[in-house]
Amino acid sequence: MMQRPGIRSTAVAALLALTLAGCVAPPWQLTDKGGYTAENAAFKVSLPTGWMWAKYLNAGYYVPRAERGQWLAVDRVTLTRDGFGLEDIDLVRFDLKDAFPHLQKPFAGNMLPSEAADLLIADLKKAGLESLTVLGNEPATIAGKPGFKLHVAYKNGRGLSTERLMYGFGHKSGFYVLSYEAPGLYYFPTYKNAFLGVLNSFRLKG
Amino acid sequence: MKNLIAALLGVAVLGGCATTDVEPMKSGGDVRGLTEAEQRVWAEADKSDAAMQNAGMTYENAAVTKYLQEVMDRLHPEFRGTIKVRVAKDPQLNAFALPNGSIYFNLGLLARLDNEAELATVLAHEGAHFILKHGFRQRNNVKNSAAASLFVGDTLAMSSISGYSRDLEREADLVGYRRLTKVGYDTRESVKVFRHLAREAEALGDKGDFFYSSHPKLEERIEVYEDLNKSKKPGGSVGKQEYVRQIGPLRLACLESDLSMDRYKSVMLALGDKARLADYPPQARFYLAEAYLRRGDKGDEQHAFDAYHAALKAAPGFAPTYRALGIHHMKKKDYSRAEAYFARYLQLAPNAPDRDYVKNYRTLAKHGGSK
Repeated sequence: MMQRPGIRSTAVAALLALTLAGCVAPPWQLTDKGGYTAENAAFKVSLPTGWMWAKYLNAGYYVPRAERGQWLAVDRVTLTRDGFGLEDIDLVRFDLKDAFPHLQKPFAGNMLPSEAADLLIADLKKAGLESLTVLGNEPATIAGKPGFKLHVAYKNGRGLSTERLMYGFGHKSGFYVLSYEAPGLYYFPTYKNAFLGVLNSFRLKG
Repeated sequence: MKNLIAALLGVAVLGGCATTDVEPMKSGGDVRGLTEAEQRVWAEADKSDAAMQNAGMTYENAAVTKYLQEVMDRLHPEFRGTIKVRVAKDPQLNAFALPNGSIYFNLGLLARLDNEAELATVLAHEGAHFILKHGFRQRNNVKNSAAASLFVGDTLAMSSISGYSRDLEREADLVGYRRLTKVGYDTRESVKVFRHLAREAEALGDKGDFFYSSHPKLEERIEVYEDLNKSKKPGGSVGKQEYVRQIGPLRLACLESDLSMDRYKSVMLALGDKARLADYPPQARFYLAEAYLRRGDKGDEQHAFDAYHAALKAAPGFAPTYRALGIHHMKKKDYSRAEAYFARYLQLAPNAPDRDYVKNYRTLAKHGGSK
């Protein structure tokens, strides 16, 4: 049985592509003792100290299996502490029309948070995580907006379990997904609070 | 065509795979009887089994697995204990054999079949691939091709998933067919399963290269089985009731899995036929409604609404229908109805994983859509 490409490999490919294409401005930086406030076009967020981070403005988001086009415009801040794949924080604003890129479905104005969460799960599965397990799916408030909190897990062929925590909501300025992903046994619990700190600092601009 | 089949039958059954230097599997599949190269391939397949399990891609349901295994053991009794049938958590229409005797049957295919004779057709065919060592033979063929030599490992796995060469598939048809007739299954059902799957593959326009979703390959199976049936008297066991009894509950899981992967076309195709819908548990109508909403074409909202009400009538104790109708009425700003449906949902499913969402929605509806 062949291993299917997962979200992680897609994300790595996307980051590589972004870096190679020169879309990163600036490239990876280290947050210093005082932390940083990363500002994108649509949002600002405080970053934990000692992490590597990069931001992308209106950058390309690679969606290999989407049929209507390969690249979607997104605003994005991405962080890792010990290395990509060990603990990753990813904050992304999609255009509403591209909210669920692998499903080719938009975020509709009257969509309820649980409906958005269900579509996000379908989007992840379509992106290659067919065996994904939903550990939690509940309402959440992010930057004062009603949204959802999704906790999922998946395993690779060697049995390594990876967990991903996602907060999402739709707004007139876009569909936001703030996620944290790490191997479940050690990294996920260790740096979860750092992510929650980032999440609590997340603010929409304008 | 008939001559070719007769010739292949001779090769497969009498000649013992004379077209290659690979001997068919001996009874019991004793690994010690394998060549060193074959043992290596066997070990690779064992690793694939472990990877499937580690990745949580197998569907663990003891009763269903036992039923499938019993059908397989009746078809290939001399390989009882060697051929192991497993169910894969995959909605794609597929089944495949690994060279170590593991037969993977996808949930999607299991849910689409109508009766035990159809199930036996697929199991007999896949069992034949193992017994005739098609995995090893395909690998030998690939190894002999310089151009493909870089991709040997992948080719082995992919051929078992997407199908073997035309000759090997026909050989498996012939050996499988003999097993079906020996056990007493009605082989006219074999043609039906391939016809049905071919129609579905064509309608879905599935781009995946999976054997049982591949329209041309299915057309070829139909041709082979129709030819074989010409000389066979009608009759035999179909096993519809037993199949529906064993697989019925799993069909709902498959519909849910289809929707969770946005395979709404597949759900609509499976439930669009009234005769087939009657074989599904009554809650299936709910999933048909959800499929309409996912498609979102003109008129689908009304189709969904009608299907939700059909679900309500057929399965009044099924909670998700009430949640869906609550959401429908809330979006229509009919808050009193919305609240009533949400209340009923929470009453029927007080511990549902999404109860917090629904409590929020109920509160919202209670206050006329504002906090």
